[in-house]
Amino acid sequence: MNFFRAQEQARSLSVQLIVLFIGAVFFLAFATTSLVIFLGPYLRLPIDMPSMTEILRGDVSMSMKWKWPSLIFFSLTLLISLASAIKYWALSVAGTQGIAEGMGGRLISFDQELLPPEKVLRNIVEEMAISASIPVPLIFILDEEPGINSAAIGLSIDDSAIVVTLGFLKGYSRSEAQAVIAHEVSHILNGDMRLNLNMVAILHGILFFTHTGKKLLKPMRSNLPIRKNPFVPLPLVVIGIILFTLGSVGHFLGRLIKASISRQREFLADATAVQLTRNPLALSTALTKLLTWETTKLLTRSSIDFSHSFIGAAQTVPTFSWLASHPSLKLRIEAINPGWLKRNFPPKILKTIMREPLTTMLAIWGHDDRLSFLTTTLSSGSSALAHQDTQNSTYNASNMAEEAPITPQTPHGHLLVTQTFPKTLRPENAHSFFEGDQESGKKDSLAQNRSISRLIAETSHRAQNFLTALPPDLYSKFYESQEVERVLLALIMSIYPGVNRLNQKTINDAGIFQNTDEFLVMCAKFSCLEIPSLTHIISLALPAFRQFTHTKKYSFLRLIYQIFTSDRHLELFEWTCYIYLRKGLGFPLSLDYESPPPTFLSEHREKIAGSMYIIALFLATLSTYPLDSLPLVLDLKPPFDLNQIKKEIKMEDLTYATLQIGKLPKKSITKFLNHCLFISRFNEEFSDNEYDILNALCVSWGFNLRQLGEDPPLDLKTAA
Amino acid sequence: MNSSVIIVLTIAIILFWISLYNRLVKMRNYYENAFSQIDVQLKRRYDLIPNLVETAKGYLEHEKSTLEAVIKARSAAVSACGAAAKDPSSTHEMTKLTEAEGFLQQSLGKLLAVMEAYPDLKGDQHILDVMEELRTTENKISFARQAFNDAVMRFNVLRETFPINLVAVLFRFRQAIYFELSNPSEREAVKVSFKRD
Repeated sequence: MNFFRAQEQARSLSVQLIVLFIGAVFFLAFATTSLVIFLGPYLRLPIDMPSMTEILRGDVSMSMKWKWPSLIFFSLTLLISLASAIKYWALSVAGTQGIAEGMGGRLISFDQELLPPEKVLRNIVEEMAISASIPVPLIFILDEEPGINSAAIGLSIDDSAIVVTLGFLKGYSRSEAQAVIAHEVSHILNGDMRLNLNMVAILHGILFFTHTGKKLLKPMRSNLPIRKNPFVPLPLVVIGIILFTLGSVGHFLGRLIKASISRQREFLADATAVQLTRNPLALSTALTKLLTWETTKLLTRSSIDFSHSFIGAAQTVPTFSWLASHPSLKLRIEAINPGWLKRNFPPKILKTIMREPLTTMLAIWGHDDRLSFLTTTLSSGSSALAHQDTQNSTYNASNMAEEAPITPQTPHGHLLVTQTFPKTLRPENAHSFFEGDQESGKKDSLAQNRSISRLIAETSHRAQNFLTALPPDLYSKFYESQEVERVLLALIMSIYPGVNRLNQKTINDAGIFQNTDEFLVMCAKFSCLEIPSLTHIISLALPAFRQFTHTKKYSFLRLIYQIFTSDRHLELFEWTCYIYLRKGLGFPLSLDYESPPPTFLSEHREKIAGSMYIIALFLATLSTYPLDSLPLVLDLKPPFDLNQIKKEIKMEDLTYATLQIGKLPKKSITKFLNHCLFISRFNEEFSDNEYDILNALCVSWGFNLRQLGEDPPLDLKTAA
Repeated sequence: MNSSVIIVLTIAIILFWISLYNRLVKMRNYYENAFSQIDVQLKRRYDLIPNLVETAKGYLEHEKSTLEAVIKARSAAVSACGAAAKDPSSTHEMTKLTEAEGFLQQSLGKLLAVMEAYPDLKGDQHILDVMEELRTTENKISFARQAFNDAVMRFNVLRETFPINLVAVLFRFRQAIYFELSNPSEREAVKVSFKRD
């Protein structure tokens, strides 16, 4: 887009509309005056007015002719101005910070310690302020709003604020956030809030007409006929009707003009935003994410009151109307990037997104890439949707049904294993679990030089820090038996890039949350944070579970299991989490199905060795330990070809191996655990996931990881 | 009657010329102010660099030459920036500054590329913080430069339009110089990777 020309166009249009607006006010006063003058003689108004015929005949002097009309006209204009001024004063007295705090915003100040996403937000706002050459506006975060939305408030460039929701921090990538912040900064730069306030005030002035008319007509409500009602003089009724009708018409027209000005200002702000960032693509993708109102909706009353200043729809499905304050997003995207929307979002996909807003939203949370949220939507949400469609309706969408991977009955299905941790949770292990590069043999690592007890302490310290950094109300929930279920569930769900429809249904059916919104708010709170060791957090929450009945514990466990397996992939972190929780709640170790011994473990003697190798294999891959050196550590001959096996290994095998090793004498297990520790510490760090796995293993064998804190014997170190 | 008309007309014309002159002065101040913002951000980057180098030193013993190049480019840029800030409309100083900045950006880019190759380094929270700071500073510099260039453009357009060009010539308003990177290889942005995964 040529943003300079677009800005010029939008500006000149706005000017025309403002002239129209003021013209409308004068016209209104004029129309009322002339009506009163015309009807004056018939109403026998108590004013000394020459009649029309007299004026036409030229019997009266100039001053007589214009005395009353001008008096009425100017007093009407004065009244409108006065009413507008009062409204203006009332609206502007609140002050920027007061308004933002009234919305429920939390000020991000410049000196306090900030979370990483908040820091990025602050940086972005500073960048955009520099780009627009304005002072940095105040920044507020609405902590209770999981939707993606933002607003600019404040009446002058020097006293302005930008308000963003919590969902904004999570749902937008850096460049998208930058584009939207640029849009808000443009509103500040162009003085749109002041313009809007002016228009609201003038509208209020016109509304004053309507109100006066209504007041005059009030006595008419009684049942007596007008002529016989002694309290209603006829002239007043007629004037009342005139004021009411013209006021209503004027107000309606005023609203139309106001809406149309405000739409022009949106286009102007978009154009200015592109000028500030020189990145039209980011603004396009950012606006695409606002297409469904579920993703942008506001939940708290205090912020809904200001819904007109938010970029995304706050409450209802945005349909175009002449009274809409924002142009349709499609039009805006089209203006920014002609043809882009159609190229990237064919109508069919767009329809799916619009139909499946919740999935879209949750998918957006998990993905920072430009368009990847779309693919997620299509692969998880909409295919589930398509599947349901085919169940519900006649079987016609055959192509859609083929890609539907989710069937409601998962627990007995064959569980595929993906050996990855979710990216959002485990950044350091993004390379696929068994495809990690094995060559990176950096022997002189940091972790090797520290004692294991120290490393464990550091991990739990991280987890503790995570908890204490939470808002106190959220933190305390981990210790309350009424709340612990919800908070743990939200924490676990926030790890996923998107919650598919099936999980949403499972959670709803479980009745743990009163409504979806509550769940979304809690999820959003967690999804902004980098989550440390899960087992540690679970262990903190366990005491609160003690008051649960056996059945309640079991049903919670079932729910977690259902969620973990709903995609038919049990991932390593899910396995860890589940095993740990299961043991912690006092259930014996097993996944909820009979796990047959892996085919490559046949003989009895080999079973133990094989089990050890299976566990060691997982740990070695996590810590990039060379597989060829495993026999040296374990001091056993591998019963199978390790490189061959690692392609076939499944989570059931891990459970089986854990069960097998649990049968060994305590001393052997301790020795094996020490070997495991050694393998885990091979690479430069002892990560949270390594801690989690070891923790889960220890718990299922009845050990405490912290008490294991002795370093392995020296000969093992040399062995590697 | 006639003389009074002439007087009124003269006054009107003088007022008009004054307003034109004032507009030019205002625009010139805008772009000079925009330059001061670049200046602030460049200095911020100069302050960040020793911090970054200090942190990276422990890890990058074999990359001494890269680190030294960064330090050297930084000190050259610092002095060029000081000279340019005194007179943003001077073509000579601006060219010198863009040159020095280009060098600094190049060497910084190389350092960051080297750092990418050391996984130990990327795990260091302190390094991540510094890199984040560096990234936002890079952005701020480029946005400040963009704001400066936009202001320069507006000033130049104003200066060249009739009848303001007459005033501009009369009062010697020089054409403002864009802040551009002269060498194509210097145009490459510094790569700051925030991929933690």
